[in-house]
Amino acid sequence: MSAETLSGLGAARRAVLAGAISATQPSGTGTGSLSTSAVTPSFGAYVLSRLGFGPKWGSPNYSVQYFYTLGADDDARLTAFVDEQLNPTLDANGDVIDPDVDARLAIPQYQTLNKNFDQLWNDYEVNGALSGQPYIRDYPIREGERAVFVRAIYGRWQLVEQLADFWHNHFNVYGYDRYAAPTWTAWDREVIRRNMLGNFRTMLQKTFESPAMLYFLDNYINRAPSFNENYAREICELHTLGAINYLGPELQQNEVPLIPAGEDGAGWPVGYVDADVYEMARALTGWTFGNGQNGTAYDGHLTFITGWHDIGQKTVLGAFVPANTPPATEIATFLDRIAKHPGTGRHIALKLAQRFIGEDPPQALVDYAAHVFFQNVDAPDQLKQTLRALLLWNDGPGSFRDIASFGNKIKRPFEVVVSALRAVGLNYTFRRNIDDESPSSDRFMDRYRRTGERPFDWRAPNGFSDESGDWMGSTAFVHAWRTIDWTLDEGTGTGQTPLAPVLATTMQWSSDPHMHTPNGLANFWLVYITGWAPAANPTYWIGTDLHAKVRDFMCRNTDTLNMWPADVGIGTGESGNTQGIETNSSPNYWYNRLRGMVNVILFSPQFMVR
Amino acid sequence: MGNITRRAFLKGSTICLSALGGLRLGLNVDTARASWYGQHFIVYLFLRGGMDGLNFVAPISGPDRDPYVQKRPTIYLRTTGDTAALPLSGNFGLHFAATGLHELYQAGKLAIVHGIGFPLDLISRSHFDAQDYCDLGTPGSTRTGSGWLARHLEASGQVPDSAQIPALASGATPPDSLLGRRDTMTLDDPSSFHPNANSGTSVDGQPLYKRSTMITLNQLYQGTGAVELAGTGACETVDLVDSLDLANYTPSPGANYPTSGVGATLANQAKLIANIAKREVGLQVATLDYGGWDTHENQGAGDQGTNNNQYAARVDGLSQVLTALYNDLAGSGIAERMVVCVQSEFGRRVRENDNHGTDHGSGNPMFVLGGSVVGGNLYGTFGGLQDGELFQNEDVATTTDTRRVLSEVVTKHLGNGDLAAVFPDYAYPGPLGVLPGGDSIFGNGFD
Repeated sequence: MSAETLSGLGAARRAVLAGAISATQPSGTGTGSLSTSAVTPSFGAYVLSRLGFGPKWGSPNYSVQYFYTLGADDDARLTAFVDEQLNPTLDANGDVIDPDVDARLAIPQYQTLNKNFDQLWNDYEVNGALSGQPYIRDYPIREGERAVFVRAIYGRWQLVEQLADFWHNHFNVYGYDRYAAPTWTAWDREVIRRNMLGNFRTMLQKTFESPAMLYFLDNYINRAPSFNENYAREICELHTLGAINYLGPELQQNEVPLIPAGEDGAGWPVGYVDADVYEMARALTGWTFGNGQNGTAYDGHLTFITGWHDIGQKTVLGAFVPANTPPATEIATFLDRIAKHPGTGRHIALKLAQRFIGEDPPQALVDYAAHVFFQNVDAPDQLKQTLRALLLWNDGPGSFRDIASFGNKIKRPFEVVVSALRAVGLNYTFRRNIDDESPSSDRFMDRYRRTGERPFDWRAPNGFSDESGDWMGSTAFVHAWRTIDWTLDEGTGTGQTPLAPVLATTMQWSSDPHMHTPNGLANFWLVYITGWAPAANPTYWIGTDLHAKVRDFMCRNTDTLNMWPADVGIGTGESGNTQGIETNSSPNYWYNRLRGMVNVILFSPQFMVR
Repeated sequence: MGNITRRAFLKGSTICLSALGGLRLGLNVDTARASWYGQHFIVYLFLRGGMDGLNFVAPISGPDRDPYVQKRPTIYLRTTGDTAALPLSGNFGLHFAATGLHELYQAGKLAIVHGIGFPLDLISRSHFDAQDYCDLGTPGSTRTGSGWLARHLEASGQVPDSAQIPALASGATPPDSLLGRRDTMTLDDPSSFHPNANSGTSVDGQPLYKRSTMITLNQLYQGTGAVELAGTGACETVDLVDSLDLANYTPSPGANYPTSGVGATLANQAKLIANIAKREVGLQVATLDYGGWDTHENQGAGDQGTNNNQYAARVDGLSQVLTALYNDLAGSGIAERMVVCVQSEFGRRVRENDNHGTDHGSGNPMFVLGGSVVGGNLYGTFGGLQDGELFQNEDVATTTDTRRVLSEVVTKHLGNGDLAAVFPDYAYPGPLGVLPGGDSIFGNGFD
């Protein structure tokens, strides 16, 4: 079985799945679109919803308006924008600098984010009391799960945030795990984020060296002779080659065909078998971290226990290492071989394509990106180059820039909520709550967690699914919507400051009640949220099905029977119409209704697909 | 409340894409009853992670006892003391924490099948592949576009138009056993299941814009695209939760669902199944998932009670939930409607590893629970634990195809004889006898 066929099998499964959930392909929407009603947006709006978490009106660096300043045509704009997003401003440590985000995270409720590994270990593991709400030991993960919302909602480096989400899932560690929780900040910053646009072999090494991963996949107690295969299995099946390159339980290593001459990785086995996993597991014996047990220091650093190591000769994926080889050399040899195997490139390229392009990406695109990955296995910017190749490939249909792909992916709950809160201009920094403070980020998370995609809250090593079919259950939809609804309602009482400036934004557009017709309000908010419109000023969305339904919500009174006229301004002062949209009393409760109208735009199929 | 409820009757699947889409106005829920096949339903409870069946149903006497103790020096089930195994039949005992399941076994409501799995050349030690083989019902292939339960519903042709909730995935995401089925209701918890009901102000007893939001959502999600169908399903779930008042449910007395510990979430999900079953809205298939069984290390010493014993705690949680679920239905006199099939994607190796845990294996027991089950018996063949009897010198032998047990439930309990559609490429050799009717085959546990 050739390597091509192997990666084709993985794509084929997804192709079948995609076919299974798309009954018809009506006109006006892209190939394989999941929605029969969502219409294809402008190219800029399309790009922004794929590279990051969607447009934000008025943003100087991630909005549809900004995108259209970047070049004379769409190809030029896309290239310029991709290159900009792939090259975020970095500090001396290689961490991304984003002044708005950094200022928001510089509040007292965030105290873990600037600590290095040793400080985290000391403050939250060694001295991390199991007391308080949450436990002090869990502060890093509790802050991390909220900081990720702040970064994704307010960050200008949106592609970086999509990549962080991708790589956290790829190298998934359960965030509340015993040794992941107190060291979470270092895992997020030093292991994942600093390496996402760098070198894959380096990233793999950093995951291996971390107590979070060593504990999560049991390697911290992996010892000869009865080795524990859990970590070795997942390195092969999830982190590098992937199950698409697994040749099944019957073959032995000497029965695996080799990659033919002239192809990437010529002479190496085409894929892996169980024996490769077992040999890798033997090589990993003795590699633990300093947890103060078995004679190790209590410092969380990578530690080797000689007495636990299997010193025999080993072969992994065709790489042979004789007996008594120094263990560091041994594991380095095997991680080199597996990280640099062309199958790993195909696996990573396929997953990236599924994230950014669609669940059935063109094989030529995946092959090309895999080849770039392979050619750059030692380059310090290997992953940046691979992603750039993927995003800018233009040799056929189904490329990133092919807008026919619009609608072929559903937004996952994190994407639904983040894109919605960006679009409404949320102005609140989620944080670890201290002392029942209000507004309450805890209440936000209580609602959000019911979607099933609470950040870093996935116990299995495979991470959250990237397949649309897994996020179209009623639970995912309803709880994402409920979370958005809560956020829009929060802070709207007398004397409070709303988290989402729905009223203020409306008034900024126009404070004249004659403009506040249901037609006008629906039209304004559709343009504001989506960043584009099917027709030019002043028509915009008027005449579309979506506009009519959103407008009708604004017309519909609380008794769901009487309808306010679509072209009558609200609160113009005439008899029977003295209450403006900022009021909230019987019979119309306009302020609630306005927020409800914004809700239904955010809940619509148009907003749910990308 | 009392609104007209609607159910999209969607027959499409990957196998036969029939044209029906859109919404069909059903009857008011109070008068629509789905009367089919005695309201029988299956609950497919999947233990994710590779549950160690050898310590759940263990040899406590006979020729396998010594090899069992030798190969599991720390974690073997004891026969004396506080953590003594609970005797089943013949040479086998049940894990000490499964007291509720033990009572159900003795009452003849629980059957256990030894050594289930898939054909030897298709065994996989990968969690994800093995789970796919089970959920899709096609060992050897992870590319099948439909799950076995979805194919069953399709092939049975017995989902009446009036059925409001024929398929229920009780959890946050539907499992792949229902892949392809478009009318699955996915529901984790009926409380607060609405996108816009918390504005604090009510008019005529309704939270502001709760109804209006649902009207608009129903308008927005019309059509046959996958997203529209999903949105329709979401709207219907909201409507049904409301009209059936699902959040307001009291289990039968004696149904003690755990409210804390590792079983608490599963308990809520199981309770929802009982809740919906009692509403008689056409339930035929329900799924549950219970993870955390991947006990590679510190599985729990055999003389260690449920405190600080992760495996025992999970067994305890599972047993409490299943017992509560059974008692909940029995208390309403409808336990005969339900058959629960409990399985994992594989068992674990016979020999414990150096970390007092176990690694991925294959052959494993399956539990079949229900009011009409021929319980109190061990079925199938236990392959034995002597060195020569282990599969690949590591695992309990697989001696019964998983599909054989499921096929018996599909044919006898669910009334669907079209097994070729449910399990393609599987030659059903006939029932083991876990359900009444036909010949039964008892295992050597009965010796």
